[in-house]
Amino acid sequence: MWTPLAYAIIAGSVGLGVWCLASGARGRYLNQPQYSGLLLLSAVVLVQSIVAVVRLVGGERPSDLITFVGYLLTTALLMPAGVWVARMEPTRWGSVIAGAASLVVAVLTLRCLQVWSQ
Amino acid sequence: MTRSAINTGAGRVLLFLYALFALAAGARASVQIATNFDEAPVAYLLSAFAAVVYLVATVGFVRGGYGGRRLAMVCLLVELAGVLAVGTLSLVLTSAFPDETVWSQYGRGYGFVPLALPVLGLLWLRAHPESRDAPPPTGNAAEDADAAGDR
Repeated sequence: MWTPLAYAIIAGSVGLGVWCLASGARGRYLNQPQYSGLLLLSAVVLVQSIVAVVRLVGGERPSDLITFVGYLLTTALLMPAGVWVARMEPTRWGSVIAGAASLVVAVLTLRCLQVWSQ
Repeated sequence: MTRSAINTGAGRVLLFLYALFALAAGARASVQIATNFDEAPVAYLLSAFAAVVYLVATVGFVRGGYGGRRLAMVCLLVELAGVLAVGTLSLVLTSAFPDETVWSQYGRGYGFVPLALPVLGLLWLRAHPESRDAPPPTGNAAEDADAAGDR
């Protein structure tokens, strides 16, 4: 984990999540900037996961390794999965799915950070 | 797909959240049971049970139709009973729950989503009764309109 990037992910995913949920509340599907934002977030989360794996291979070890890897995998897969399901539902509910996934990414990233520094 | 399908619209949000909780509870239970089962066997087995319920509910939502709806309904009721029972017990009998489960304190560790999910799910299923589960489209517009309107 690279802490500044983790905080950037948390801030970005909270903002994006609230934005998507707001669209859902207004009865709208995701617009192009939101969609691009979700893809960008997926990519940045992937970068963070690669950084974490490189540091794990380099010998850094959180005390609870299994839990950390579990959170890391879930975090990396969640956003792409959320976008995938949201695309199957091109209604307001697609926006809700993307928004919920984005907020959960924030929580999971925070948990990753906590486990990493333990 | 007719409007009666339980796996589209808001149903798809439920489906996504159920899949997520199946994964979250399942992963947590696996790690706990594999690493320190002796510490809190009851809590960890409950987490595993919750994970199975979430997984089966997810399958129910994905399948939809009559069977899927029944399956999801049973899971939601079990889940609601579970979160209420475990939530209450974890507050009253703190010693029995030395470690958290998904359902401890009504799912507080998970933002109370475990309490909200079965309630929202049951409301959703109630809004989409069985009789509205129409047969697959026949390709005949008039018949399909009939089927969709048959509640």
